[in-house]
Amino acid sequence: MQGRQAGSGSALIVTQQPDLATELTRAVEGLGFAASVISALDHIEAHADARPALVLTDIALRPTLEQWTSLAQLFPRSALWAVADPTDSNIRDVAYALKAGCHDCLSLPVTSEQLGKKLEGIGRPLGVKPGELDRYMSNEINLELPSDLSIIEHVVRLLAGCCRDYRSYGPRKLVSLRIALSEALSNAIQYGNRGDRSKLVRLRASVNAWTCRVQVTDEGPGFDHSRLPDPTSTEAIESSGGRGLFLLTQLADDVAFNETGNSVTVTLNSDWEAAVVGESIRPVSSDAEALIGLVERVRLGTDADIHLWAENLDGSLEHIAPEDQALAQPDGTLHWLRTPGIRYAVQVWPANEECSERWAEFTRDLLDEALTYEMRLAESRRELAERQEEIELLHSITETLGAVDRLEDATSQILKGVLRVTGAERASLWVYEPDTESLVLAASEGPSRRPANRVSISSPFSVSALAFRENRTVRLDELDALPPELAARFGERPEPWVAVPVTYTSPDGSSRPVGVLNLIGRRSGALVSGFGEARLLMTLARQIGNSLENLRLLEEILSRERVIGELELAYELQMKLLPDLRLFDEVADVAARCVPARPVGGDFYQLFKLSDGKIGAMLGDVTSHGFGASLIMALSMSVMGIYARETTSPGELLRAIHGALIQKLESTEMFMTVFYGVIDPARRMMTYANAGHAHSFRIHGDEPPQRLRATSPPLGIADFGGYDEASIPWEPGDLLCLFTDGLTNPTLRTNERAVLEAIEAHRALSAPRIVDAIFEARQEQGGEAPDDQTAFVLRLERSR
Amino acid sequence: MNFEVQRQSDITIVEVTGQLIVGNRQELKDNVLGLLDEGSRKFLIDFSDTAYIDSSGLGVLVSLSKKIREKGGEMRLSNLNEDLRTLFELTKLDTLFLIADSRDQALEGF
Repeated sequence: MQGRQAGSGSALIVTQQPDLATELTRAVEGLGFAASVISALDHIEAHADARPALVLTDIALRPTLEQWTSLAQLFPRSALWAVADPTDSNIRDVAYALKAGCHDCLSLPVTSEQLGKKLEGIGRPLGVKPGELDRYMSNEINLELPSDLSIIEHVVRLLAGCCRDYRSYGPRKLVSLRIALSEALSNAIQYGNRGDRSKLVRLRASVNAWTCRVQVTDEGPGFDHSRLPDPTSTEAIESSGGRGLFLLTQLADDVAFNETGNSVTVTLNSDWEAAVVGESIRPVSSDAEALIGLVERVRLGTDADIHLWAENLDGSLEHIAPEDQALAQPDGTLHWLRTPGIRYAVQVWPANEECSERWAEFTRDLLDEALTYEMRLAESRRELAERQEEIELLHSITETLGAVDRLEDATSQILKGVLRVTGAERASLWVYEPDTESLVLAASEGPSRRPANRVSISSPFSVSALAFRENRTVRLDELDALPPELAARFGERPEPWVAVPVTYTSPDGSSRPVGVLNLIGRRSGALVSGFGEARLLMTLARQIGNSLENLRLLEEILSRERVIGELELAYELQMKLLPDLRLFDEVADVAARCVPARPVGGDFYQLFKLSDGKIGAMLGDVTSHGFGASLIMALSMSVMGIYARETTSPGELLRAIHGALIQKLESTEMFMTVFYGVIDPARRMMTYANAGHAHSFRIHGDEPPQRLRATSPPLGIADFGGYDEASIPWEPGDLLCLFTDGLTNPTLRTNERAVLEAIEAHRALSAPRIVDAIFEARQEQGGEAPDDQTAFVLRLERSR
Repeated sequence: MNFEVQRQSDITIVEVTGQLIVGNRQELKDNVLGLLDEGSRKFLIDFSDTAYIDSSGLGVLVSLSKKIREKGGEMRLSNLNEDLRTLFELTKLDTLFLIADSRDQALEGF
């Protein structure tokens, strides 16, 4: 070890890489520091006497939480920085380090100049840990990030985690923070640095219990933010920043740009009353609280005199316990208790002869132990909270959204078991839906031959309806016992078929039918022939009834207790993303409706006013639905908002979207069908690109609907060269009708025909009326619609 | 959904029964990928008993076909009902798969 100099003149460098050691040594020596290099954190306590101003740790060593904690305890007044190679390091390691107690992270190459600036930037006496006087008071994070979209998630999680620690940011605030920050970062990466990985994005965040302020700076040329209009005005829809900034300004409490426009500062206030901010409340850390409590207890239990001081930044001691006896300064031997951010001094005076010095020692040890325990407790509390938030905010949403699937899965499992036990060929389970007085197909196993999935309980032709109505087992081989309509339907020798009512017996003993179980056919060579056993069937049906009812109750509880808050928020946010079509009243007769299958979905539409009076109309459908799809949808909307103004070529726009989303789509196995048409009223033409969107039509005059066929497969499937375009004439009064497969599933041709007939029948009416007609037509078709339903109708001239 | 796996010389035939939808697509995917790992390269997915494939089901087919191609194999589809055929045509997904009317037609020259 070289230059073992005490005080603020030395730096400790921890790395195994000789090159890095040389580079860092040169950088710190350039500032007049003496450098010591060690290769591991294992025996760090051997360097406790060095008291370096700076400790630079190579992130490649992946220090553990314990190692960061001991660094903080050994060097309470040093700046603890990690050093990372941005091309090589995992942002997760950096995020972990920052969470664990590292103060800041430097990106390679590290120069004296950069180091000097950074030290100045702290704006505090050298060697004082920023924000660590009390980790419950404020938190500062400085990061230099490569221009890579995949880091956003980790950074956002890190900052949301910091905010959450204060307990003053509610779930809504945290969601807003996540979205606002993602937008700011993706703007900087995509539009500031144009995705150039060699350029950095600088993030400087300062978080306390009241405010989270994040500054994001890119290396781009900036943009003219002074023209950023009121986000709800018509111009905003056409502003260069597009939807990303719109969203940012909607969610954050304050958004400010620097002069050049390459740096944005986003401020979000916590849920604490604004009034509190004015008063100077100094939150006491939970460590100190615990200590004060303990001291009080020991004082009461013995007659000993114990005093506790907290060490201030300047080294002076502040008396914190007992509260009623403020002693200015201690006299005598002090005992130090350390936490990562602060040292406490304890002094114990024996009360009488019996309380010897040994007893005092014991008391100090006790306090020390209690403090360690308290710290561990706080740590596990934090971990728990972290896990809980993960679950609350993301996973549980996806999971709970999947509750419907769970019911499907469960019933399908049940039916598989039933087939095995009974030797039947097919089984289906119908569940009673009180609102419509009908039976709905919940699951079926075995070769399906059933086109319908809903039957009214009053139907005279349905075996299931009969079994349900009369709450008895119906067998098709007992023709005499069947009503004539049914007997006629199945003829002389019907296949084996038993319909058993499924009943639910509540804890109070009362019983009611909740559905019907059908068993049809007999597997050849089936070993078990429990098929004809009435008692077995009744038992099965009762079990199914109970598990069905339990699942339903579970779902109800889940949706009530856990989902509603966050999901409503997600829904609100998503609906906010869709354009306000009233803004287009002057130029077009336009209407749209989007009904997500689950509270959030993957369908979207967009309308753009382009140059020369052109209008761009888009409808998209991200495969699958629910939270994952909605994230893709939100991302697509921001990308489009920006690109749509840069090109009037629909094919080019799709190519741009493809470029921006392909990674995300491929990794999630989703893809997206998109129709984008640009209508040029002056030339009476529409140019469109259609990436696999099935239902896009032009309605001209009284002619039958003209399908605007796909010009390429859906977006996100593969790189296959490009997105083609097509052009068609566009007359004033022509209707553009776009809808998603939620309106046509599950029987594409039948349902599409019904929707088109509704459009044709109402073609002379206004766009909103046509949209109404589309949804009415779909409803009349019946059948479940397990996907998001969206329709969009546009006519440039007002209706005739 | 159920599915049954058969072998015909070096071709693996997966017969899908019932709907291929968001709730069960993973099952199909895991099984086909398992077979791919075990060395199968030629896959025929037969849909003669499938009424409905939702968009996430399509997503799984696309991703499977990609993964099989990456390993030098091929995936074909057969016996799509009229609705499903229309779906593939309208979305232009038919340009990415070889779709045969019958199983025999699919096996020709495979």
